[in-house]
This record gives sequence, C-alpha cells and structure tokens, in this order.
Amino acid sequence: MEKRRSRILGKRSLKLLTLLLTTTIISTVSASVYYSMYMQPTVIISQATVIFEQGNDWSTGSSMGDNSTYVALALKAYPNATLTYEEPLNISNTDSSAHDVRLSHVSITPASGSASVSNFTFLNFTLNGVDFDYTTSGDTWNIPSDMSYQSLPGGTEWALKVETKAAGGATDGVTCIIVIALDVQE
Amino acid sequence: MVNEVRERSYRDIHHLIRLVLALLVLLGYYPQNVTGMVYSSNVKQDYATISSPSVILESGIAGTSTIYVNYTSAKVSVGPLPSNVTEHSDSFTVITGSTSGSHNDTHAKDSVYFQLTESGGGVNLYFDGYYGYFTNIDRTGAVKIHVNLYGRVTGETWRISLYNYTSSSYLEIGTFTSTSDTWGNFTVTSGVFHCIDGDGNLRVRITQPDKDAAPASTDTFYADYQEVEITYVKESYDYVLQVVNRVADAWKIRLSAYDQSNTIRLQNCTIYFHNGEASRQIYINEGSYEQQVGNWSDLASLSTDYIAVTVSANSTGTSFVDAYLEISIPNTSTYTQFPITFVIT
Repeated sequence: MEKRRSRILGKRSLKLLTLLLTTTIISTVSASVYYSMYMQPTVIISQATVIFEQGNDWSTGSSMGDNSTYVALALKAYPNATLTYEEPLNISNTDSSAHDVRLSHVSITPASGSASVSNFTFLNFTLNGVDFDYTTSGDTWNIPSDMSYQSLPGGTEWALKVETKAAGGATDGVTCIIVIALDVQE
Repeated sequence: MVNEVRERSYRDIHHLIRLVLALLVLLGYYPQNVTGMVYSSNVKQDYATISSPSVILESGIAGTSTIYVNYTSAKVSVGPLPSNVTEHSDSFTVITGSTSGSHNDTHAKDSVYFQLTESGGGVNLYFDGYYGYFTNIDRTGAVKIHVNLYGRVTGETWRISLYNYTSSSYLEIGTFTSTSDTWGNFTVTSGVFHCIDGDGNLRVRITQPDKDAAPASTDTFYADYQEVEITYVKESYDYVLQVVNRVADAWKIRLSAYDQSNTIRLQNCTIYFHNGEASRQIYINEGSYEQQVGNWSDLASLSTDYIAVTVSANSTGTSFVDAYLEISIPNTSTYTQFPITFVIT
C-alpha cells in the first residue's frame, strides 16, 4: 500500500516536473531578442514665425488669440450687395527666411443641407492674389480645395482680403462659421 | 530524386516571394521619409452674419427707378432721347438787296412767297440777309440743326449759311439752285454748340454773292417755306435715387462704373451726387468715359444724398451704364457695393 502511494506520488511529481520544464521551454522560445538605441527629443517652446496681425479693416467683434496664432474674424454680409474688407487681417512673416503658406479648409457651420446655407451667396478670401472662395448652390456649400503653397518672403506681411455677399431677401442674423487653417511650412 | 528537385524549387520560389515582399515593404516606407515636411497650422475662424445695411437706396422723383429687395440695388431709367424742336423765323434782316412780302409768309407752304432780290450797280448785284430764330433752348444740349427751305430761284447759285457765334463768322451749309419749287435740306452736326448763342438765338443767312457776267440780271429767291429743326437731347433728371443713411455713423460714398453698352451715342452723360453741392461721379463725353469713378463724397450721419443724371444723345437707342454705389467706412478700406443700372433710352 505504502509502496503504491509512493509510486503514484512519483508519477505525479514526474508529470509536474515535465509541465514545469515545458513551460520554461515555451517561455524561452517566445522571448524576443532586441537591443535599444536612444532618441532624445528636445522640445523648446518657440513663438510661431508666421503670425496673424490686425489689419486696417479689423472689424468690431473680432478677436486675436494668444500668440497671434488664432484669430476669430467677425464679418457682415449684406443681402444682394458685395461687402469688401480689403485688409481685415494680415499674415506676417516675422522670420528673415521665406515660408510657404496656404489656406486650407477645416470646417463650416451650418453644414450643407441646412436651409440656412442658401442665405449666403459667397464668402471669398484672397491671399497674395490667390482666391479661396466659398460659394453656395442652394443649400450646399461649394468648399474650395486647399490653396497651393505661396512663398511668403521673410519680413513681409500679406493682407487677407475678404468679400461677402448674402442672397437677396436673406434673413437678418443668420450666421455661418468657417474655420480655415493657415498652414505654414517650417 | 525528382521529388527532391521539385521540393527545392518550391523552396526557392518561397524565398523569392519573401524577398520581394520585404523589398516592397521597405520601398513603401522610403518615399514617406523623403516627402515628409514640417508645418504648423494657425487657425482662423470667420463669423459671417447677415445684417441689414445701414445705408439704403430709395426711389427718386425723376425718371423711373426700381428698388430691389433689401434696398441694396436699383435700376434707373431715363429718356426717351433725343427730342426735336422745330422753329420758324422770328425775323428777317436785310443787309444788301431788297425783299417783297414778309418772312411770316414762309411759315406755311402755300405758294405765297417771300421774295429776296439782288441789288447793286452794274454787274455787282448781290443779296445778303438772314433769318433770325429764337429757340429758347440750352445750346449745350443741341447736337444737330436741320435747315429746310422750299422755293425756287431765278438763276445762279444762292448760298445758305449758319452764323458761328464763337468765331463771329458764317459757316456755309449748302446751296440752292433749283428754278422750280423744291426742297433744300441742309444738316449740321459738327460745331452745333457754336451756332446757337447763350440765349438760344441762331441765324440762317441767305446770300447771292456772285458777280454777274454782263449784261447783269437781277436774281430773286422765291421762298415759300422755311424752318429750322434742332435735335435737342440734353435732359436733366434730378433726382433719380436717394442714398439714405439710417444710422448715426458717417460714411463715404462714390459711384464706380464697371460696365456699359451702346454708350457711343451718348454725347454727354453726367451722373452726380448732390446735396447742396454737386459732386460729379461718372462722366461720358462723346461716347467715351472721361470719368469712370467718382471722388469720395461725405454722407453725414442720418442724412440723405441724391443721385441725379444729365444726359444727351445724338441718336435714338438704348444705352446701359452699370455702376456700383460704393459705401465706405471712413479711414478704412472696407466698403459695400450696391449695383445700380442706368438705362438711357
């Protein structure tokens, strides 16, 4: 009886040992072999070299964000009349080197499909003679393609021109919000 | 042996596929690394709100004006042009020669003649005299003068002239030689302004100045009818539109022509502001712009300015002048453009 129990324990011990060995082998096999190189980014907070500046036609209700990298322009649109802001906002290159800049569309509210869209006829932006125009076809916005990059020479300021027009009979107080990115190549 | 070779070929193909895949993966990363760029994006957020304009257009009292929705655009129609004035003589003055009957006899074509006869000595017979007309028109609007005579002469050539008040001389406009009753029609389109004086008077001279060959004959002009017809095309339309400032802010306003058609017939087209003092904005002279954009004019707080038109044309037709009323915030380059179409018939 005692001998039989010892034999059973011996078998179980052997099985356990086998399991342990197998586990160890598996762990060893699945381990990756690697080495490490070190990359040390140093991030320095810097002022943007191309910034917004208020233009001669800076409109009431507009605001400039901190560091002049964000701006909210308050514009009007009159029904059946073109309203032109020749210089509401300037884009200034404070660097001595030229930088490529462009306007690119981010978002517009109200979105296409809203009945409010048809209150507007167009909102045209012009930078360095290149147009970036939002027009409407019924309740649909025609969104401009991203502008091609324009080289803004060092120490130079460009005026952004804006033209707005609402449709004849448009409803007073309807507002649209257009978010546009000024992309600046470093 | 054959199986062994086949197995090796399969293995080689697998190796080749793996190699190609590895290369493709590497090439896929390669262009991305090369075209990478560093850029930042500043954000601009525009809020465009539809508003009623502070300055609006309203109808005038002359011509016909149509104000479109929101009072931000308009069409103005003036005309029709031109118009004609026909006058008979008010007098006849004899310088040399003699007359029989009255110049009034030539106010109707009725075979009752006013006779003009040469006088003088020997072969030096001649006649000189002129009809006088009072037209009561502003000569700056006159673009054409027709002189129409009906009658006959007994011989030789009689000459018809208009007096030039600027040079104090006569301008010959034609001759009359028919010995049977007929029309003589003479037209002047150049220098018309000079042929009418500031009070609206003009003279039509009739002469027979040629020396006769011996033996001399006494010639006579039998005038049955005469008239002058003046094409008078200047009209003033004061005022065709009102520019109304509804707010306490002051503005600068001006007119700027940006398109036109058939303006070649416009001898004079002046579009101007007036609110007391006149400010010429658009000026077309003899079919061409001499002023296409006006000077900025003040539009005071809660005030009204007026747009007036003076126009003359040398022919019938329809002319269009498309202009913007530009309204600017003083000391800025922000401005609104209200389209206005001027139609001149």
